[in-house]
Amino acid sequence: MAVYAAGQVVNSAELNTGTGQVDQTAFTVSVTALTQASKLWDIPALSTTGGSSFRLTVIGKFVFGTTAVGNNWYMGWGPSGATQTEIVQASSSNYTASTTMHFTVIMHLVVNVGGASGSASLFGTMASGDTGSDSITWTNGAIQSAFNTTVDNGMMFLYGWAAITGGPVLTSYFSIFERLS
Amino acid sequence: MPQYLDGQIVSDINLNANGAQVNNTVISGTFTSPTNITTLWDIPANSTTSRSAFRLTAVGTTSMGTTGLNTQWGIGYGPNAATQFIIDQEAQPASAVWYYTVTVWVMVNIGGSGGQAYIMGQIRAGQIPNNSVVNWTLGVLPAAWNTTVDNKLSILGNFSASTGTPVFTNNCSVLERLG
Repeated sequence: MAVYAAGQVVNSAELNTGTGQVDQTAFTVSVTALTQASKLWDIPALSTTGGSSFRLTVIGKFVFGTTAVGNNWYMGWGPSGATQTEIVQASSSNYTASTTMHFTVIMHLVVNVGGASGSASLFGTMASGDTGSDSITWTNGAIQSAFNTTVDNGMMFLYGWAAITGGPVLTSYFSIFERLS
Repeated sequence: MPQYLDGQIVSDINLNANGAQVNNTVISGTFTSPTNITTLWDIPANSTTSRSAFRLTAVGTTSMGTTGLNTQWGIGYGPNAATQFIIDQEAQPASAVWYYTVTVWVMVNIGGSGGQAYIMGQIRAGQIPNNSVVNWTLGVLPAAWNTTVDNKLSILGNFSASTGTPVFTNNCSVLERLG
């Protein structure tokens, strides 16, 4: 979200930007370890207080090889995005070998209380489907967890495969980060 | 979202507007082929480049008649929204009323006449009482997208037949420019 200074003469390029920030760096994950799968978006120190809120949207696809395997969807947040909160650990029974699934991950972060001993709630929803008969949607999160607004915080999507049998690959194409309040 | 020009004197009303446009025209009918159930939202020629992003949301209901049929939702995009992509098709029981939201994201990845965009759609629907639910996500990753011409974006809806006179009713749509 653009931040303007008093007295600034704003040009058309600045005025016509949208309400979010976009990153189109592609991330690829083909391992079992939880891996960064979006930009680590920055929430600067002292930039938030109680009632500040953000939405992060990540979009991409994942492709199975000759074996359907499970996959693990997490949110990274806090300093350096190091705190990991699960959205879902989906089992292989949700998927079919040799298919391509498209996905969205949408995360909402709301600061409940500002300060060094502050708190925030974080919710994430993953939704995915293919052109066949597979679809899975799940929501999970953390409620009023420790969140220090006086230090630099980050927010990102984390992903890992339950197994890499058959060589599955997830690719996220872009993420959009919005400050809502 | 309004488009501003260099040198334009922008009022506080302009600056304090939300980054979204709302159209609350109700579009209703017994559609048997993919039909625009939202307004044709305009993305003007040369108004986007790499990293331009949009989110389109529509809400409404599908009311099945005396015969169960397939209900489907899709995306119209490109010049005149003439390129159609189906997100999902679901069997809707007779006499069931589904409340739905459809969300579509467009992110221009490459600008120009040979450009491309990532287009993703998501349909969620449910019925009261809670005996049916729909969640589906599918898109075009990537799609050809010429930023030098006028493009439109819409959401499509239809039934597999008109038997029993089912009714699609879209109540409103919201277009947001995100990037």
